[in-house]
Amino acid sequence: MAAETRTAYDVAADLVEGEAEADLRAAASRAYMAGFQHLLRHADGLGFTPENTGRDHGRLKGYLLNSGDPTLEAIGYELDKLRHTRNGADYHIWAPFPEPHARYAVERAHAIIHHLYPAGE
Amino acid sequence: MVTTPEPAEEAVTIFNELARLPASAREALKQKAWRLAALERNRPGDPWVLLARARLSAKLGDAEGLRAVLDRLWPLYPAFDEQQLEFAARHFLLAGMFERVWAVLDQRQETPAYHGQLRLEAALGLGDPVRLQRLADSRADEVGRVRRFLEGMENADLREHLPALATITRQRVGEAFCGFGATLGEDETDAFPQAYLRYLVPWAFDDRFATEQALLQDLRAYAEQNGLTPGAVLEAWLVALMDSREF
Repeated sequence: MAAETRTAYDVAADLVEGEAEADLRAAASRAYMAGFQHLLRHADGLGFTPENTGRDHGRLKGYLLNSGDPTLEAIGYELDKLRHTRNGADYHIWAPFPEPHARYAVERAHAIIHHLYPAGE
Repeated sequence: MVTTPEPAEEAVTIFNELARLPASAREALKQKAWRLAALERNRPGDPWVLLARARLSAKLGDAEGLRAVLDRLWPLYPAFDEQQLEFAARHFLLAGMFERVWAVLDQRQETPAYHGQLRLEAALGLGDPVRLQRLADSRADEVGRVRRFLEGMENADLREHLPALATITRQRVGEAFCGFGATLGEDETDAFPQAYLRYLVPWAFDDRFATEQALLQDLRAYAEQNGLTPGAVLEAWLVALMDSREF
């Protein structure tokens, strides 16, 4: 079934082509989850142990940025920007959310999954 | 009978129309450019004509053109009306002319709460802890986010390094940008608000990604040279290069 094979990234990539601001906000939100879930799925390789709770958002960011490993820092930096873009999409609803923000989120999720940490490919 | 609008009114109309035109509407934008050139010949130094030209340049991703128009607009600011002042400040911000944002706003009211958001973005662009402190001490910081950011910077020994982080960023980004925005963001995962600076540049993904990675190296090197924890710097100072061609 399509619903089982589509990833959060696929959903984000589709949504960003939408014209409504709600689509763009949803795209950024899904893009962050795509990057975050990809890293959690391959947490062993990062040396990170998930708690599988909401606290993992902050724990993973802190772990990567303070790892002292330039590669992991770069992944953490991208993930953190993605998180801020997603927060803008989900919570700062009084501020406009223009298309470049949504496209940035989707491209950076792609960068995490395929360039910075292409685990499982 | 068809009446011809006054040139100043027409410039305001074009300025407003430009806000609704996407960058992809090249033919319509070219027509606006042609009309603005004609208006400027009749009214050299008209603030609305210059503001419309600035908006057009930003829309076209013409950073050099944007700065040239804003340099001509700059000496006129003491005579701006309220609307011209706000739009000029916004365009100075987009072009990274952060000192000018504060100057034009101070001309009207020196209180930091006057257009506090614009002032905050410009202060973050400069990495200016003194102006940030003025905002933190004013009604502009209603929810205390600027104060918490500065406290976080102080605790991480980063406060005095903010101007250097801004300079490193600007040097790496260069002058190709014609869009800028900055926020202090935080959620429950953050110990304190983080600066998130967004530059709009007309570059494809590969160039933007490579520049961001190079900036990451610059920030890490600066942290190491100054005895700072790289992770703390990266956590406090986020920079994104977004594609202006999609705007």
